[in-house]
Amino acid sequence: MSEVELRTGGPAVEPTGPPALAARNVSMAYRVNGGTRFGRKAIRLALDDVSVEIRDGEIVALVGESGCGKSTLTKLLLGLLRPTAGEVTHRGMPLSRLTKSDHRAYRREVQVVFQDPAASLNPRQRIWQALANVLQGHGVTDRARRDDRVFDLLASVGLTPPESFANRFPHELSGGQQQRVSIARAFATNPRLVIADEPLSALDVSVQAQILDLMIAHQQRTNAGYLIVTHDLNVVRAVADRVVVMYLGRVVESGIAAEVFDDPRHPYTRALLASRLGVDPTASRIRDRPTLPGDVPATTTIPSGCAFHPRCPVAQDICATATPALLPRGGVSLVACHFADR
Amino acid sequence: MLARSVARLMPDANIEKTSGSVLFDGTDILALGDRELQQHRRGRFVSMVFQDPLSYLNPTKRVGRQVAEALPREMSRNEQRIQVGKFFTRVGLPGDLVTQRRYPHELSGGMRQRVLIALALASSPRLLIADEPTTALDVTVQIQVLNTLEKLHRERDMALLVITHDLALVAELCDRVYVMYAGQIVESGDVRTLFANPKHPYTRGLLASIPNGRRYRAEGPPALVGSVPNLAALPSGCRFLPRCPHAFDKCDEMPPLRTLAPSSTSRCWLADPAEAAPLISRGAR
Repeated sequence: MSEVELRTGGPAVEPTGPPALAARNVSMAYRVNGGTRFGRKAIRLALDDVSVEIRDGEIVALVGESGCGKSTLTKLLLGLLRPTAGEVTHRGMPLSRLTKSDHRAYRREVQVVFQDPAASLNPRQRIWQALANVLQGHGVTDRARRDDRVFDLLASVGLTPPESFANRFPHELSGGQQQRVSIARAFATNPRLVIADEPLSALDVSVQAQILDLMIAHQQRTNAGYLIVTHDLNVVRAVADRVVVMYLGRVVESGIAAEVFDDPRHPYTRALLASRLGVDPTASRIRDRPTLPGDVPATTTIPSGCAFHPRCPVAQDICATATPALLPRGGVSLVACHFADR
Repeated sequence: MLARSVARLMPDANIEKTSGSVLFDGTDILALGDRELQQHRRGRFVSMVFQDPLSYLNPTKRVGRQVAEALPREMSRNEQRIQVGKFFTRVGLPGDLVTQRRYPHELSGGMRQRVLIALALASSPRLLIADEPTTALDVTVQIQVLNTLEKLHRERDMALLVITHDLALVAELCDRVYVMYAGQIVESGDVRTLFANPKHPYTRGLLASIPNGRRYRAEGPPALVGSVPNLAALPSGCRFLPRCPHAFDKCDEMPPLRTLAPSSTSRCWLADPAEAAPLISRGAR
């Protein structure tokens, strides 16, 4: 087992030019039923003024609990939803203004791996068909070349021998193998950016490490950018260059992963890091751990001021009235807290 | 599955050709007749908490009533309300009537799980079985619920059987651990010993699959290859053989669960010094 170099954070290439993909001050409001009585619709603010960028070659982790807007942000970045306000840009160009050929380039360069591999594969389509469709859509029309490429892809994600997998249906594969197919599909277009929405959480523990290995090996080989959406802080710690922490539709802290882990400034980030269970029974036991009071509120009833104030151990009066801005603290970290300097 | 047999929740028709017994304080629960089983349940021995509280609570009944159902029938409504309030506060819920009168859908995931724990406690069990109690919860809420379980275990001297795939949870909460693979116990022992020195290759692989600390290994073999076998087509011999990095000739034969120390067992030929020694000269297969 060879321990390769320590990932200390920061992209491998110096950031020049516009980021591969960026969300600029995006907000997203949904109208939902049932928020109020008598059939009036409630507004659910899933994202509130969020900015995130991913550059070539860096691994960005997006962290937060349910309802924090992780999935909505993913959908906006993929162009599956249009933001209510703000815009998503691909290499500096807003998605809404991409020309036809630019849009095709965006589709080719930005690929996605979803959480549930069974739901993201067509159950009536054989594996080779799923991959061949993608290749055909991106201009590989020669049948022989396409078949070769399908086999190469399957082999590259560890489904060997590829001949024995190509003709199967998704239900004939295990969860880990299905996720490998989803990943092969994402790799089919040689993406410059991969967005992975909870790629590990539907898998067995012993398979999670294999899938993570696969993605990181791809990242290091191709120097693609990665956005990994996860709630598993151990994974973030192991692979991410930068981390973005969200709570109820807002970014509460973002920065170089190593700095955020060593010196978290936002009380929510601190609480998240403190909830990370360790695997050394002699080092920490559950009874000694501090806990945050309360649950994550529903996004239809976001608290006033700082959304975290009802659960915050250091909250003061100002936190209930004024929303803290996301400001630089120390190095490159951005923190949204009135008391980040304490 | 094992847990359900212990609580005797498995429909009898599903159990074919099983062997063995489940002993609770010396009574074989599987051999009990219907009436005796009723008595055993009413005798408040075993309770269970499940992974997904929403599917184990009645959506059309107020949560307070559901917990009250587990209380003695002789109790008056008023007494029941007071008792339910006490159970609610004990698991960290507001004990007031407003909370008791809520329906399951009006509560958050963490609160529902607490209701389920309160329900399990209402029969004053001496053993609480918790099946993936926090898998469906957010991390900050997970800590709250685990803390509650740990406190109840300590204060009421109640035994706790936690079923989980989360090794970190085991390390932080438990005293002893049984590791199962494809229907068998492959290793057991005291948590500290087992985590410090795992004996079975499966346990070692599991521990190695957890990204721990900050280093990332991008090359080198993965912690565990392959995936869990189909239970309908188990390999002959050791069930872990197809995924085992140390497999050798002997593994075509099923290894016994060997006792290594008073509380430590392992189902691996390599745990047997007589088998492990010649292997070094022969080399792994």
